[in-house]
Amino acid sequence: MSESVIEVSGLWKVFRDFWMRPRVEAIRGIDLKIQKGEVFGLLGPNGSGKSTTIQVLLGLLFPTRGEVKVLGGNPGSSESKKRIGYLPEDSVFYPFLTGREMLNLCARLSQVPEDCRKSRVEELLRMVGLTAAADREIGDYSKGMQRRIGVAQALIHDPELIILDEPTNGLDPIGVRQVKDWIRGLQKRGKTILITSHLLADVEEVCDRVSILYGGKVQDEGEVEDILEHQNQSQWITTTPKEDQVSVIRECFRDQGVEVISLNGSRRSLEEKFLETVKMARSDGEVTAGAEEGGQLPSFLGGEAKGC
Amino acid sequence: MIPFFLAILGLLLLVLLLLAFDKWCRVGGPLLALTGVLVAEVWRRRLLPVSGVILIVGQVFLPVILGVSPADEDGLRTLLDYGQGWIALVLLLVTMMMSCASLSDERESGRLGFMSLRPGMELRWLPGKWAGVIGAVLVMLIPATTVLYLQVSLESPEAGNRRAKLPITALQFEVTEEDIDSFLLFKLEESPLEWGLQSPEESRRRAKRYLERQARSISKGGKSYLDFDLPPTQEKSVQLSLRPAMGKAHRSRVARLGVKVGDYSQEILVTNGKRVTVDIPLKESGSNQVQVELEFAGAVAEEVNIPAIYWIDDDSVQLKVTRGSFFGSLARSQALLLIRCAFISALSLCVSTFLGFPVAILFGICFLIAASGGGFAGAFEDEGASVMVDPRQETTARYLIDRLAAAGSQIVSGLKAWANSNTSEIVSAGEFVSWTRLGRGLFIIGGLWSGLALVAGTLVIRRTEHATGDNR
Ligand SMILES: Nc1ncnc2c1ncn2[C@@H]1O[C@H](COP(=O)(O)OP(=O)(O)OP(=O)(O)O)[C@@H](O)[C@H]1O
Ligand SMILES: [Mg+2]
Repeated sequence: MSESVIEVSGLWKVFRDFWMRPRVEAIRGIDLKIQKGEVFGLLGPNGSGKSTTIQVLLGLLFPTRGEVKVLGGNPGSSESKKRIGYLPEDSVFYPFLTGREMLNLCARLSQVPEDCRKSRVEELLRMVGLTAAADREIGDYSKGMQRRIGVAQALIHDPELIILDEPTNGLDPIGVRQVKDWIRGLQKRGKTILITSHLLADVEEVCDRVSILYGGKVQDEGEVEDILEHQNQSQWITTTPKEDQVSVIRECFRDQGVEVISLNGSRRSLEEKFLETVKMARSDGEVTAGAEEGGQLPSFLGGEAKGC
Repeated sequence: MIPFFLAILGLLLLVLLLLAFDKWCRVGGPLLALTGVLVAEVWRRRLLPVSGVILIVGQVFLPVILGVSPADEDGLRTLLDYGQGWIALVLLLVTMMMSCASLSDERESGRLGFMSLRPGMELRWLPGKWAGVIGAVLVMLIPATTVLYLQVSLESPEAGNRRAKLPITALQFEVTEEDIDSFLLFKLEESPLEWGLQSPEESRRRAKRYLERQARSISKGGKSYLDFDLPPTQEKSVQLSLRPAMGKAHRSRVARLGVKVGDYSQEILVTNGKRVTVDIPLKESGSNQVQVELEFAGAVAEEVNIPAIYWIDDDSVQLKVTRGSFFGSLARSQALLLIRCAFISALSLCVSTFLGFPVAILFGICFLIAASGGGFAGAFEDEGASVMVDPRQETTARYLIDRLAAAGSQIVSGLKAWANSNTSEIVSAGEFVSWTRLGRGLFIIGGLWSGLALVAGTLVIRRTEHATGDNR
């Protein structure tokens, strides 16, 4: 865990207008270091410079100032491109290609060997739950389905570094759950992952380290465990006590010197209800034009089973 | 019945060719993958099918719209003229649309950046799309040309089988430096006072003008000898094609002209500005030189005085030798059209790396207009008129302006190459389109110009930022 995959120091990015007058200072001196095998989260409110940072790392935007090293080379070099998978924030895929054609195209452009291509495409389609919709044009996909194709294309060439810009944006709760599982799975297979998101709960669950950006600067950075220090509080979940039992319990706590801050009846979470309903519909054999239940990470991705 | 059948045939051919091309794009490396995307784009966004139908159906009904039949010579020429014009018009426009729309869309949607993340993509964008556009144009060009050929040959089989003619210009019309040398040598001896006192350049210029005028006019009662270099031919006869101008004489004035080639001689009547053709038997002498003697006997009507007749253009006096088939010439001419489309595509791709779709289209149209004007550029050329430069005026500004003017005329003369590659009129006149012309077009327009445009566009793509956000 010492080899760093991304090294950024003193990065500035100023967007200029046609006459080269500075318009926006999107990034103002960012330092980042991401180690191999890490899941790193880039957080921040809208317009704080997350996507801009990512595009500089990819070589799509040129830094105004500062040092950027990706996989030991310059961003945008041919060598590094082979080893990076990227899911853009907006789904910018060819709307007139079908899902399968899009994946095939990406595989061909990345020079995935021909004998592996077909099996990889099918495995990834299965993984993102789009096998049935694979022959429809991407322009007809729903937003979440486009995200799913996006995830699949980012993995098709088995990259070492995976950059996901708001991967859960537009996904249903099942999809969000799966994305989190995939990220964990990818990390186990030795991949380095950089994600951005606004959904802090997701980030909290999968990331090892996070940086919080605001105004183009890193405001805080560190291990998730350290950043979220424990407050001196705890939560118990019990069966609902009767009216008279409540006062006894309070009494008990007071005797022990423990203060009860709040007490509320628990409802079933909407997520549970949602998952249950969808699961039932699926087991009833209900037909959908949308995404189906996805699957596990395909075996070609890193890990032990090398080859196709 | 025939138009209907032709339309079906043409469209069927178009679809088959497209399928074959698409299939070909599916195997092979990353470059062909990109080409395949362009093909899918123009097909699924309906640009290719709609313009294909317009092209073929328009072509099929052209004789009806024009009200001509290819059975007679005039109708044939009109049909060929308009048919080739129609194909060129549609294809050039569609080429421009395909190229501009495709790349501008990639750029504006942010896909250019996103897809460039695959290794080596920056170098492949333009060539990949270029190949796609050329393929798509070919897919439309072949059926349309086939329809045109069938229209001609079904209606009049002899027209379809006819041979193309190669026009040959008189040697005397091309005044060479040697001609001027020997003329001056002679004149300096004959009248040294008149010719010896001018500067050498001045006398050369005068000599050239004199020689040209002499070759291109016959005064009343005078004779003129014109030499032609024929290519080796098996034919028994050649065609002499004449279009005299008679100065200020009225358009309907008729004059007598004696034509003599070897043993053959004949007197013909010529009208001011009208083309006449005479078949002249060839003797099997083995010599490739033919000398035509023309004698101008004056006007037919007694009261009219026509002092001289003139051959104004190079094609005013030509010998036409049969050479190759009509179909071969048509095919070469259409190949030149494909080459022009290829350049338009390269240019459009290049400008749409930094211009949006409407502006890029506008740019392409401006080029087309300028280039078709380039054909007239020759009219303004005046080699004798190099301006005397006063040394006191040799300032930097003057130098710069001169350089600019030189560059401008370089561009204009470059555009002449464009006009030279437009051979549709030659084909409809039944003349021969040579392989040399095709080769020159391929080299200059298809190779040099297109290559430059592609390289420039690729440099722009490599040097600019392409964020993946929408419309950034
Ligand atoms: N191409 C551009 N030209 C000008 N300004 C830009 C450009 N791209 C981004 N910006 C500006 O840079 C700043 C950072 O944008 P960025 O897209 O990086 O934010 P973000 O953190 O990804 O936000 P979000 O959460 O909304 O995705 C914003 O103020 C934005 O307006
Ligand atoms: Mg963003």
